[in-house]
Amino acid sequence: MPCAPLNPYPQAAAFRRAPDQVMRLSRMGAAHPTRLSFLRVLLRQMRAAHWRFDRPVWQVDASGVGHAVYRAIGPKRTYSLIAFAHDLPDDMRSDRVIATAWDATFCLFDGTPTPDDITRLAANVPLQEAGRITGSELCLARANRSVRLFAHVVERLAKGAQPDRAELDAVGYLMRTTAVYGSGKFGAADREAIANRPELAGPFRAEMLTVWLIRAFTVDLVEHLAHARGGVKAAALSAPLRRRLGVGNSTGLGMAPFLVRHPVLLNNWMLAREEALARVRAQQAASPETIAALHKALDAAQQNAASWHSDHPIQVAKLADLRGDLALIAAHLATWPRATPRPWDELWLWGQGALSLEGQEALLALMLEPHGALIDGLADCMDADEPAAFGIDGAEPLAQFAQTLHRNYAWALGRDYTAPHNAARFWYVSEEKLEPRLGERFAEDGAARELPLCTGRMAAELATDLAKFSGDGPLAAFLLAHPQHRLMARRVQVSARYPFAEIQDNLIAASMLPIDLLRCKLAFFGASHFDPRSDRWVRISLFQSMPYPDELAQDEAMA
Amino acid sequence: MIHLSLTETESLAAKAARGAGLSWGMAEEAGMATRWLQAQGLPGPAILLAHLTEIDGAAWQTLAPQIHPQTWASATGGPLCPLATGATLSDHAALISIPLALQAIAQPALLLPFLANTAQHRAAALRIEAPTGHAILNGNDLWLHGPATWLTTPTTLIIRETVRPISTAPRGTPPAIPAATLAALNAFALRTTVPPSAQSRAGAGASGSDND
Repeated sequence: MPCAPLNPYPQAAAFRRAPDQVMRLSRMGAAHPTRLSFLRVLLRQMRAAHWRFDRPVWQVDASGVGHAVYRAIGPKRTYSLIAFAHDLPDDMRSDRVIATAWDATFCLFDGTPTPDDITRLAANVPLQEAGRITGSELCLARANRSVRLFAHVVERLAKGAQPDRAELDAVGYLMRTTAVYGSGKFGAADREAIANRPELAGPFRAEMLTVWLIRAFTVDLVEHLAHARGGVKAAALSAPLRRRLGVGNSTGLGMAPFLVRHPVLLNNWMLAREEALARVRAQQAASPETIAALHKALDAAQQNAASWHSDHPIQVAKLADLRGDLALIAAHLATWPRATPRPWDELWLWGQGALSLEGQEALLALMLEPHGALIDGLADCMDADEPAAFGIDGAEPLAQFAQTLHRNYAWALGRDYTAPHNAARFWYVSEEKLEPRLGERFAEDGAARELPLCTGRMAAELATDLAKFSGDGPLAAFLLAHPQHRLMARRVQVSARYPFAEIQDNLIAASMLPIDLLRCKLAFFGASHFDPRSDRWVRISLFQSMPYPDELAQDEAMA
Repeated sequence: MIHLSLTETESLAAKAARGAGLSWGMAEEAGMATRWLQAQGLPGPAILLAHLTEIDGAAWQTLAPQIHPQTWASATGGPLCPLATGATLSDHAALISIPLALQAIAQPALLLPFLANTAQHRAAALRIEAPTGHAILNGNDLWLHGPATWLTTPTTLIIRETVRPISTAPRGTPPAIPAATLAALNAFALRTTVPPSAQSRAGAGASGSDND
């Protein structure tokens, strides 16, 4: 949905950051979750619409094998998570897409499943990619245990004790999902079949609901196993400790191309967030309530930064930046707001000068936090009608098209793509698992089958051929002669209408870090505790510190 | 017979078209077209497969239509490629004059999704006339008349503007796909993938164990 017609804050336009500042990998790789992140929006929506939750089926044996059903019951429709719990030998536990077995597998069912549905799904869901689901299912997912923490929590609860808080915080989850598939994958319902339902219209709502219900299942499972082991003396997990657990997620390169392949969607996510920041900056004053909420958000961010662990050198440096920057923000807030007009803009401009990219993007999230009434409506603008943006306007005069190309891709055009460091990598799909991978162009075979994710180089090639093309005819004439530029021509026209559609960095450069793409996308999901395990593999936590289904209705923070 | 979601159908069709040698941008068009046909209840994957088998590896110059004011023809004298012709028609939606005659075109069904875009762009219903039947398109609404054999047989077509039918357009359900069709499309799609190497496998995962 386009935001412009809904935008009642024309004065915010002057405070928007420019795409060439926002759409850089280094900044995208410093993104933090905000109140517009998808899991936050999902919980707000469900709370506002008085969704109810129950667990009509729990057939799990004493060894933890079986299945369970969790329902989310809304005003119109019900969705059910069907969880299958398995007995997985340690030597089969892998987070990679090449795995063939998991500790638990899941699907999100459209409605309440019958026993026949469960029988059908029990024969398919545990197989994941090797099985088939149908239009009655919205998501397919799987998760592995955090072996150490899972065992620790079961052991303590079985003895009637609570787990050690430090151990719990060191991991942050009992299970981590290693894939959550939606949008028509493996036979599931197509996005267009559900996109007109208000509760699923926003991006990744079904996936977020799936993960949230998985979180409830992971806690039920440890309590069940503790009870099986300890009998009546077994304890339930205390509510405060339970809150500290999220669902982990382990993600590799597979997610990285998404942001490049969905330029309109990326634009709408970025634009909503940037519009939110601009609205906050444009305010004339800061009310006592929003100042108090800002301080509260800063406290939470500092606690979050303190419990955020990573051993990856890049992230270790970023965490040092973040902790230092949060301290700077705290010091600045001691005398803020001063008697200046537009105190929020003053805060932002100060941050731009004083903070690292980590700190600046954290400050953005903090500044949005107190302003639900001002910005939450923007969450309705974050989906995209991609088919509507697919068509090429072949009647566009080439001179105008070239002007757009040179204006919106200036970042790409001056670069020498024959220099090895500028074309060191190539994106491809592996024959083996049909998953995206990143190759070294000058050391590996396969570049002839490169995916069209090298947007900068494609723009430069388009510009070269465009300059050689005689005449000022329409774009249609150029594309008839040069079909190899069709994909990039579509992107250029998209960029004219969607200013935040394109990542303005060379995605095949030697220095490119895929984890920057992953972090940006995961921050929009609402992920925290970003923990890279290599330059292309990352663990995160979802829903940490958020309410559980049995707490949502009472949770004031979600209001 | 296998049921694919429309998303899977589109993705497979695009990869298969790329595997058959079309540019990525044209392959996206093939994906869109196959999905559109499937959503209409027509066997898009089988129609695409028949066409890709025919044009496998062909140079663009032999596929691109020769554009003249009232008639489009192929460069080779053989039937027009419906993907190349369709995409070019979409690009020219605001530039062409209608009625427009197309010299014999292969797999005419594959042209319909592009004409749906053209109809939408011109805000008019289009009548697509073959010697043995015709179709009317109003945006994504499709009415087929006469025996459907013309949809998959090389035939000449005349495209005219017409009035929108009063009747509601029929909507089919996506048909199941024969396993052999799927296997053949997957074989085309596999040509877009890179065989594994020790290096590529090693680079894709996390460093360290997942048993922590």
